[in-house]
Parts: sequence; C-alpha cells; structure tokens
Amino acid sequence: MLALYETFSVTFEGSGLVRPPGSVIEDSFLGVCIRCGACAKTCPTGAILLAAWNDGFREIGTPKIDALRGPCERIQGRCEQDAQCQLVCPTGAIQRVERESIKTGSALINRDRCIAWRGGVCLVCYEVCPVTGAISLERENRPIFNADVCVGCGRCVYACPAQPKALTLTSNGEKRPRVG
Amino acid sequence: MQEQNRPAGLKTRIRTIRWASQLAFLAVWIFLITGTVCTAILGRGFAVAEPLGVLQLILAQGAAFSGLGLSLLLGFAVFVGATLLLGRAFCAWSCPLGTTIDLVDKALQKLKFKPFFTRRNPGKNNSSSLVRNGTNKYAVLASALVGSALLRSPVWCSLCPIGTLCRGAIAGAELSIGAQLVTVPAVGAMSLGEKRFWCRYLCPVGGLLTIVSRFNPFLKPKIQHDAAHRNCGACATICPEGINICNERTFARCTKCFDCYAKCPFGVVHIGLS
Repeated sequence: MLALYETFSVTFEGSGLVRPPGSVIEDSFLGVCIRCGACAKTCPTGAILLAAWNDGFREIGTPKIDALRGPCERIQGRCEQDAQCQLVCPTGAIQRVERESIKTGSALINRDRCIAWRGGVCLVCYEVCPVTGAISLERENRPIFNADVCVGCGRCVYACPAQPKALTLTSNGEKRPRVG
Repeated sequence: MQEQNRPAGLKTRIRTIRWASQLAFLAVWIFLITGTVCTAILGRGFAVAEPLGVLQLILAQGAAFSGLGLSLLLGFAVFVGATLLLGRAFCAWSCPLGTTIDLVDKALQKLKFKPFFTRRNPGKNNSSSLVRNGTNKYAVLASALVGSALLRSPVWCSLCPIGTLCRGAIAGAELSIGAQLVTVPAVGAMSLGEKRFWCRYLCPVGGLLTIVSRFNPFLKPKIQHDAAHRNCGACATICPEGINICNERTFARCTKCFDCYAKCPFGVVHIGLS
C-alpha cells in the first residue's frame, strides 16, 4: 500500500514563491497549509498575499510575500517581537522560528533600471536595509547586493523609487525549517 | 389562546431568524474572524477546523501528519462534535456559501423565475438522474481525498468555493485572485436548476457532514401520525435537500433549516428534540 502510494504520488519542483518567514520546506508546505488565509489577514504590513491561479494549481490560496505591497517586518519593525503569521498559523505550515535564523529569500537587482547604476543619485535601498553587509556601496554609491547576507525582507524592493522597480524579491537562497 | 399562537408565530419567524443567523455568520467568517471557515482562529493556538480540510491535510502528509499540531486536531474534533449534536445545521445556518446561494435563490424567487428542474414533475424527486443524484457529493468527496493523497496537497482547497469566497474577501482588489471568485458565481448559477443545487448534489463538505450527521439523534422533523395528510410529497419540494419526511429514516441529509416545519401545507410537521 505504501509502495503504491510512493509510486503514484507526485513530487514537484519548488514553486519559487517567497513564503512568509518560518514557512516549512516547500513540498511539506503545500501539504500542510490549509489555505485559510489567516496569515494574510493578520500581516500588519499587508505583505502577505494569497497565491492565485497564475501561481499554479497547488499553490492557490497559499501565502506569498509580495514586496510591492509591503515589506516583511520580522527582522526589523512591527513583527520584531512576535511574527503575527507564525502565531496565527493553525497547521504549523508557518513555524515559530528564531528571528536570527530567518531567510525568506534574497533581493535581485536589475542594474539597467537602478538609478545609481544609471548615473543618478540614489541611496534608498542602502538606507532601508536592516542587515549590515547585505547591500554595500561601490564608487559613486552604486549598490552591490550580497545574496548570502540578504534575508529577503523586501524592504529595499518596497522602497525602491525607480520606475519600474530595479529590485525584485526572489526565493533564491531561502532557508526553511522541516515539519515537526 | 397564547399556547396556540406561540408555535404559529415561531413558524412564520423561523426563516427570519435563520436569515439573521446566516448574515451574522457571513460577517463573522469573512470579516470578523482571523482565518476563514476552513480554520476559524478563536484564540492563540486554537482554531475550529473544518473537517474536510483537516482530512485532506492528514492524507496529504501521510504518516508525517503529526506535525500538524494538536490544536488543529482538537478543532477538528470540535467541528465533528458539533455535527453529532446539531447535524448539518452548519449548512443551513452558517455556511457563507450556503448564505450566498440562498440570496441567489431569493433573488430568483423575487424575479418569479422557476428553476428548470422543478418545472416538470413538481414534487417528484427524480433520483435516477445522473446530475441530480445525492450520491454525487460522495464522489466529489472521495476524489478530493484521493487527489490530496496523490498530489500531496489539499487539492480541494484550491477549488473549494467556500474557501474561495472567504479568501476572495481577504484578497480584495487583486485581479488575479478576483478571477478565482468565478467559482462562486458558477455555484450560484447552479441555482437556476434547482434551489441549493450545489449543497444538495455536489458539496463534499456537506457530504462529509452527512456521514457524521447520520449519528446525530436530535432535532429531526416528525409527522403527527394521527393526521390524515400523509405522503403528499410537499415536504420533498419544500426541503432544500429533497427529503420526503414520510419515507426518510436517518435524516442524515437534514440541514435543520426547519423549512418543512414552517411551510408544511397541513402544518403537521414538528421538530422532535430527540
């Protein structure tokens, strides 16, 4: 019976969505999340959005962080003490993990759009970044992103004044706990 | 005199009371509570959980489901316990989708639209029809559970119009999510065929509750057997689940809406407390 289950059940690639801080590894996450939207309802910055059809069938109704709506303030800001999404999740899909161990992904820069890289004057991403070393400045204040140090809070993406935004939040390098 | 008036007053008012309950719960599920019907989070670490969602999660996780947490299983037990006590009362009194469907039915009624399936053979329950078959919801239920085990995720949650209704309200203006809400009008459109078509033939949550509700001993409609009017079949037309009270034994499908009590043309239907 178990062998039958192993044969016919399906494993998927990661969806590439940026999940709320403390979300368990993606394959478990899709099985544990009950799609109730409680995290999206409580998120104080409104950064959590529920995935829709264009994110994939299994992903419908699961939470994702959309940095254009707001940054995740788990590292610094309103959720420093307690992450609301972690407190509220009824299934353990979002686990209560230490602030220091959070890495939801990393920001990615498009230098063709970046104001500083195009010769303008801009320091916004460097100034809002809560992690030292994630963004360093080259000559003429051009930002260099260190994806290993970046925790993926999305503050820089939210604040980026370039139109269209020079920064995107990706799930690259995310660290996620296992179930249990 | 007063003794006779009281039940008559309750009879006319029972639908109003139910509307009040339905609309209040609609506000609760969508706006007031953290979470949705799927898991209504009541306090820190405790949520009343909708049983189909939890069953799907258990199947999706396989042996690892213990990671789900005790509070969720407790919430599951609360819902199942409530169903044992009250039967499918959830469907008629608080389901947000049921309320939406009822609003559609009400609008159709105001427009003097007669649902298609009730035009021919009024009062007859044509159970041989492939579409209008009460066992369809068990097929949907079984597919949801098997699908969850195979895809390792609660597949019904992605489609569920009840959840979509609540999630759509959370998502607000997001267009991509708004598009998902199409499942709700689709379910509403089924009411063109018959009132509460979705709840009666297709809803897997209703199917699951029906299975549990079989063991609920309370609040069942009864006919006064000294009355001469028997087997007229009016109750089967009135009942949103199509139950003919004279023939029914288990009343597992009964959603405790008490429409039969309020609308029986001969007034012989009573609700037995046990």
